[in-house]
Amino acid sequence: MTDWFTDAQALWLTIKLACLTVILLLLIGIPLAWWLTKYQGRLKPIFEALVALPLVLPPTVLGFYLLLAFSPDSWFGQLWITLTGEQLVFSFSGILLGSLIYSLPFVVQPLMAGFSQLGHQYGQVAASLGVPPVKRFVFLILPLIKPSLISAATLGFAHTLGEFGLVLMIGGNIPGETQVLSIALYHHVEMLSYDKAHNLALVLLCFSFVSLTLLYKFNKPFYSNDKSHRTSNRNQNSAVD
Amino acid sequence: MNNLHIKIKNSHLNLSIDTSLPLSQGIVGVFGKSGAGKSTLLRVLASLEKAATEKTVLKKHGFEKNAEHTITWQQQEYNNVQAEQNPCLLQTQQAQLFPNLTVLENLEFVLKYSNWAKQTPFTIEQVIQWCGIEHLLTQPSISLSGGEQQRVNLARSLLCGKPIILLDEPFSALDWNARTQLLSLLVQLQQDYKLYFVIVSHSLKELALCSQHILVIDNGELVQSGSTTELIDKLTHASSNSEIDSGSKTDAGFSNQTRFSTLTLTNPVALTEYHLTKWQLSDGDKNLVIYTKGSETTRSESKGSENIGSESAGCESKNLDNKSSKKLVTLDANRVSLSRQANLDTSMLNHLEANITDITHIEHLVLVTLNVQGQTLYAEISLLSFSNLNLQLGETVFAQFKAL
Repeated sequence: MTDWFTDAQALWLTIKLACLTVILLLLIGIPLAWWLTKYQGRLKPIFEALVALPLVLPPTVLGFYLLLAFSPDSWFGQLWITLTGEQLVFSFSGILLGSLIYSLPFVVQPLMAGFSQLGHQYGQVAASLGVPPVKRFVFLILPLIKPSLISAATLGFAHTLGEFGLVLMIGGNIPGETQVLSIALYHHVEMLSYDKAHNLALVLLCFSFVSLTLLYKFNKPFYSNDKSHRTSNRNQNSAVD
Repeated sequence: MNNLHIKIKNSHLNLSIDTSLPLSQGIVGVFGKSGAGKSTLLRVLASLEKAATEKTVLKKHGFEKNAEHTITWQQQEYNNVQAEQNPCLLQTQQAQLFPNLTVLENLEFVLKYSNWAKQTPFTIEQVIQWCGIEHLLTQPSISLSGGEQQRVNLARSLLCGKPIILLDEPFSALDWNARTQLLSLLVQLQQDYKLYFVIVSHSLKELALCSQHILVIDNGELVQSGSTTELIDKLTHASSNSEIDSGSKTDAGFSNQTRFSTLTLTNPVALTEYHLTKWQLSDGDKNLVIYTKGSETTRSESKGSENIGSESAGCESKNLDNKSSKKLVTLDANRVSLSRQANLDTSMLNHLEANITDITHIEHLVLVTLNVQGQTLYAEISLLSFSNLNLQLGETVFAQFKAL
C-alpha cells in the first residue's frame, strides 16, 4: 500500500465523514432547532448550554468521555455491539457519532438564529390562510430560512473537515477506517515527511477556503426589514381625502 | 341567520365582549380608538390569540380563572381550534406577503396549500383583475409599495376560500380613490358570493361606505353596536351632545371625527370630455343631479377590459359586473356652503334645494342638517354666516359644493 493510496483514502474518508455528518445533523438539527426556538420553559438555558457545550469544550475532553462511553465495557458500547455486531471505538461509526456531537452546535445555532429571526408572523399568516402546520413548515418556513440552512450545512461540513483531537481519541489512526486528513497530516509530520504533509495541508486549506467562499457567495438574504427607503420614494399617493 | 356569536372574557388581553355580529346583513365595521382592543378582538376571532396563554399567566400570577373564548358560527363552536381550521381569516394592516415569493407565487401558495382553497368561489384571474394587480404579478413581493402590498394581500385573502374575512385596517396605505374602489369591491363580493367581512377602521367615512353594522369598542369593551347610519350620526355628533351625556364613554375619543354626510347616487352618466360623472340623487326627481370627478361609468360599460388605470390610483379595480349604477359617497360637512338663492353664477357644480331640519351650535360653528329628497346632508358654516343668513328651521335653502 503506497502512501499516495493511503492519503487518497484519508481524503475520501474525510469527505464521506463530513457529508454524512452534515446530512444527519440537518435531519436532527432542523427539528431540534425549531423545537428549541419555540420552547419557552424553564429548562431552556440548560438545553441551549448542552447544544453549545462542544463549542467550548476541548475536543480531548469530549473525546475522553466518548471513549469511555463507546468502550465495549460500557452499557452503551455493549448495546451498540448487540445491535450492530461491531464495536464503536476505533471504527468509522464511532468517529461519525463523535463528529455528530462535536459539530452539533455549528449546525443547530445558525438554524436557531434563523428561526428566531424569522419570528412567527409568517407562520401565523399562513395558518390563518388555512395552511396546515407541516405544509407551513416545509413549503414556507424552510424556504424562508434558506440562508440559515446554507450556513448551517457549510459550517457543519467545514468544521467536520478539520476535526482532529476527537477523532484521535476515539478513532485512533487506522488507514481506511478512521484515518482522516488531519490525522494523516499529523502522521506525516511525525514521520518528518514534510512534502506529503504540505500536500495534505494544502488540500485542507483549499477545501475550507472554497466552502466558506461559496457560503458567502450564495448566502444572501432575500428579504430585509429595512425597505422604508423604497416605499417612501415611490408611489407616494397624495391623499385626495 | 349567519350570525357570528362571540363571548370573550380575557383579563390578560383586556377584552370583555359578548355580542353577535350580524354578518348576513352585510359588512360589519369595528370602530374605536387605537389601543381600544379592535385588533386583539380580530386576533381572538381568528384563533391567533389563544385562551391557552391565559393558563400560563394563571400559573405565574395567580389571576382568577376568568378567561373565556366562545365563538359560535352556524351552530358550531370554534373555541380552541387551530387558526387553520377557523372559518375566520385575519388580514392585518402590515401585508406580510411571503418575502421569498413573487406576487403570483404568493397567490398560488394559498391555492396550493390551503385546506380551504377548494371552496374558493372564483378563479385566480378574477381576483387579480378585481384587485388591480395584473402588472405586479412577476415582481418579488418585497419590491412592492405599501399600497400595492395591501392590494396583493386582499387578493391572497380572497383566494384562501375561508368564508369570513377579518380585515384590520386593510387599505390604510392606499389613497382615498383606491380605497373607495376596494371598499365597493368588498360590498359587491359580500352580495354576490356570500363572503362575510368584518372590517376594522378608525375612519368612520370608510365604514360609512361599506358597512351595514358597526361595533364601537373602547378599552376592550363593546360600548355601542348598531346600524351604520344610526351610529355614524351619533358618533359624528358626539361633541355637540357632549353636554347631555358627557358621562358616556363613547364621546371620549371620537369627538374629533369630522362630520360628513353619506349620499346614495344612482343612474350615472359619464361626461367624458370633462372627466366628470353626472349622478341622480334620487330615482324620482331627475333634476337633482350631482357631479363627481372622473367618468367612471365608461369603465363599467367597457367591462374594464382595456383599462389599466391612471397613475395616481395605481390600477383601478373593476366592478364585478355592469350593474354598478349605485354609488355611495361621503361629503365633509365643511365643504358644503349654503345660499338663499339658487346661485348659478358660480364654479360650484353641485347645488341642491334642501330643507333645514336641524340647527346645532358647536363652539364657534353651526351644523345645519338638511333634507334632500329623504337623504341627509350636513353643512358646517360659521356663526357669522349663520346670523347673516338668519336661517330658520324648516326653511328652504340651496346647498352648494364642488364636484366630489
